[in-house]
Amino acid sequence: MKKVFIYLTLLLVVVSMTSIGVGCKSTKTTTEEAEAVEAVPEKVTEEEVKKEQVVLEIWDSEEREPAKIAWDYLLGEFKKEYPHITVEVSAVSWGDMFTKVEAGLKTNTLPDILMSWGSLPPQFARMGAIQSITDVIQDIGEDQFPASAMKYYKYNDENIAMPIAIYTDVLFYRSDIYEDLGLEPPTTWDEVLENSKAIMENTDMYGIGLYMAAHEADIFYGLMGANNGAIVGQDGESITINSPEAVEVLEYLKELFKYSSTDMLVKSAGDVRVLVTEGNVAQILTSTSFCANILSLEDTSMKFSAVTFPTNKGDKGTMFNPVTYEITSTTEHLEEAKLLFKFMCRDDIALEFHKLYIPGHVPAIKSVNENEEFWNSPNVKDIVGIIQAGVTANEKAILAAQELGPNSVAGVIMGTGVVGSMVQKVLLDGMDPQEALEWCEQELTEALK
Amino acid sequence: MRKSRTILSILFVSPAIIIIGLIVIYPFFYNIIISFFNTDIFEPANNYFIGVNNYLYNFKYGSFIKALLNTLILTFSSTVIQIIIATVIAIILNVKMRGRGIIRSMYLMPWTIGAYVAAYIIRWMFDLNFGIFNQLLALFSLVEKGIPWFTSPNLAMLSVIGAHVWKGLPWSTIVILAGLQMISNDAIEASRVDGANYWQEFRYIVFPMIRYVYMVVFILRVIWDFNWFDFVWLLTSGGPSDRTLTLPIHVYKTAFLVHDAGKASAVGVIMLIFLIIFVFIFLKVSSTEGESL
Repeated sequence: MKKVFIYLTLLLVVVSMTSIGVGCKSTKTTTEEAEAVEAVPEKVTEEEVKKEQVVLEIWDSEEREPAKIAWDYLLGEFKKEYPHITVEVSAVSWGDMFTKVEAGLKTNTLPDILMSWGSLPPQFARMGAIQSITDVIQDIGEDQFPASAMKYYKYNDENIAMPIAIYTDVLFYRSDIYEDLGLEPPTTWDEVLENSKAIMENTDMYGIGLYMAAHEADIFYGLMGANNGAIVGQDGESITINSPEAVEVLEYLKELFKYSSTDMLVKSAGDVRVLVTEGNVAQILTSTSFCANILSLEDTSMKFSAVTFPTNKGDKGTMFNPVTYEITSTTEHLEEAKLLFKFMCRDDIALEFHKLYIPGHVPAIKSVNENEEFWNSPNVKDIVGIIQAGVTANEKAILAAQELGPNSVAGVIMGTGVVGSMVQKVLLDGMDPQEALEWCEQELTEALK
Repeated sequence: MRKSRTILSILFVSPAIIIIGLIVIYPFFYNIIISFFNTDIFEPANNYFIGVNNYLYNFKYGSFIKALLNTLILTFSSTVIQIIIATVIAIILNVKMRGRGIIRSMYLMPWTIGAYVAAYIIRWMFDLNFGIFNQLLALFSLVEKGIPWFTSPNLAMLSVIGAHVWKGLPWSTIVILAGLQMISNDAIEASRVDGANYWQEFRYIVFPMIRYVYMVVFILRVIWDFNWFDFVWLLTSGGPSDRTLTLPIHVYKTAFLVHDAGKASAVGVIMLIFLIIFVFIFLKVSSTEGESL
C-alpha cells in the first residue's frame, strides 16, 4: 500500500511538472523573430521607437462584414498615429459575452477593452470587471452623446461605458401599401391599430408582426416606456409592474394581436422579420438594425419606411439598445486604451467609421449625426428616413425594465423570461391582464430575492 | 508478480481517474453543495448558506412544477412511442431483403444529423407560412390554412414529442435489431409449426428472449430524454407559454439567464434524485431470476 501511494505521488508530480512546462511560454525567439519584433516602420520618429510596444485586446461580438470593414479602417488609422500600439480584436459571440467576462474576471484573463450593449455595462461594473472612464468622456464632451443613453452608463456617479452606435426600436411599415390604401404614418396608438386593421382587411397581409418569445419581450418593454409605466420602482429594486399602465399595455396588445398571429407571437424577432421581408406582414416594431435586411432585398417593389412609435402617456418612448465600449478593471494599458477611445470619437475618424459601419445603426456621436456627409453616404442615403426616425426616438428611448433610470435588476428580470411568458398567457391562454400581472409581480419579486 | 501487476494497473488507470475526478466528481459534489447556498455572481463573497430554501422555492414559485410535468410527459411519451415504432421497424429490417444494408444505413440519418441542424430543418419544414409540410397538406386539400405545429399552445408539446421520436428512433431501432438478431431461428420456427401468429410469436417467444434489451433501451432513453436540453431549446425555447418548458431548459434559464446558480443546482439535484429512484424502482420491478442487468 505504501509503495502504491509513493508511485501515485510520483505520477502526480510528473504530470504537474509536465503541465507547468508546457504552460510556460518560451521567451526565446529565433533571430528572425527578434528582427521582426524590433523592425520599425521607416517614417516613425525616434520617440515612437523608444515607446514600449503595446498590444491592446478587445472582445467584440459584432462580426458582420460592415463592422469589420469599419474597424479595419479605424485600426489602420490608429496604427498610423500610434505605431507602438497594436489592437487585436477577438470575436466573442453575443450569447457568450457575459459568461466569458465572468470567467475572465475570476481568472484574470480579461482583455483591455470590452464591447457590450444594453444593460450589460452596469452589471459588469457591479462585478468589478470595468473601470471609470469619466475623464475620457469629459475630454470628448459628454454632450456629444445622447443624454438618454449616458444616464444608463453611470455607476457610483462615474461614467463606465462609451456608446458608439444605437439600435432603436421604430415602427417599420410598407410605404407602398400605405400609399395604396391612403394611410398616413401613425401618431397615436389608436392610429397604429387603425392602420393595422385597414391593412388586414384590404390585403392578404398581417397588419403587424407581434413577436413575444419569452426572452424577447421587447415590444412589451417598449410599450411600457411609451405608456409611462415602470417595471422597477424608483428605488431600483422593487417590482412595480402590476400597475394601471401595464394593464393598458396588455389590453392594447390584445387589440393589436387581432392583426397578428399566434405563430408570430412565439417566434423571435429575426423570424418575424423574415415574414416581413417575404411580404406576409406590413408593419413591425423592431430595431433599426432591420435596415440591413431591407437593403439586401431583391424585390425592389417592396418599399419600407419607419416612424417613431407614438408615446401614449408621459414623456418616454420605446426601447433602444446602445452598443458600448468599456475599459476593463484589469487592463495594464490604461492610457493606451483611453487613447483609442478618444481616437474613435475624433470628428474625422468617427465620420468615416460610421459611414462604413452596419447600415441601420444610429451613431451615438453628435458630430456625426450633424454632418451631411454621413447622411449622404452609400450605407445611409437609401434609409435616411428610417435613421432619422431612430435619432428622434433616441431622445426619449429607454432600456428594457429601466424606464425610471438605471437599475441593477433589469438583467435578471429579462433573464427570467417571466414578462414574455406573462404576455403569452394573456394573448394565448386568455388570462385576465390583472391576474397575469399579479402572477408576474410575484414571480419577479421571488426571483430577485 | 501479482502485486506488481496490480500496481501497474493502478498506474495506468490513475490519469483517467484524476481527470474524471477534476471534471466530473468535483463539479458533481460542488453542484450539490451550492444548491444549499444563496449565490450572487456579482459578489461571490456574499454567498451564504440557506439550507433547503432553494429546494422549497422551486416547489412554491417559478416554473419548476410545470417544467417537471412537461419533462415527464415528454420523456415517457417519446420513449414508449419510440420503442413501439422501433420494434416494428427492427422486425422489418430483420427480414432478409434486397438492399437491406443500404436501407439500414439510410435509416440512421436522423441520428447522425446534429441537433442544431435537425431542429432548424424541422422548425422551417413545419413553419406555418413557409413549411413544406403545411404546403403539402394544403396542396392535397387536407387543411384550409397552415397548422402552427410548434407555435400553437395546444400542439407544441405533441410536435416536440414527434421530433424527439424522429431523432431518437434510429438508435432504439438499431439496439432492438441487434437483440432480434441474437434470437435463434429454431424457437421461432417451432412456434410457427405450433400455429402461433406474429403477435403470439413476438409476445411469447421474441419479447421474453430480448427483454433485457428493452430494459436497457427504456432506461437509457428515459435518462437521455429526461436530460435532453439542446433539441427542445432549439425547437421552441420552452414556449409557447411554457408549454414545452422542460427541466433542463429551466436549469439553463435559471443558471445562465437569471444567474442564480443555487436554485439551478437545486433543480439539478432534484433531477438526479428522480432518475436514481426511477432506475432503482424500474430494475427492482423488472428483474427476474437470471435476467437482472
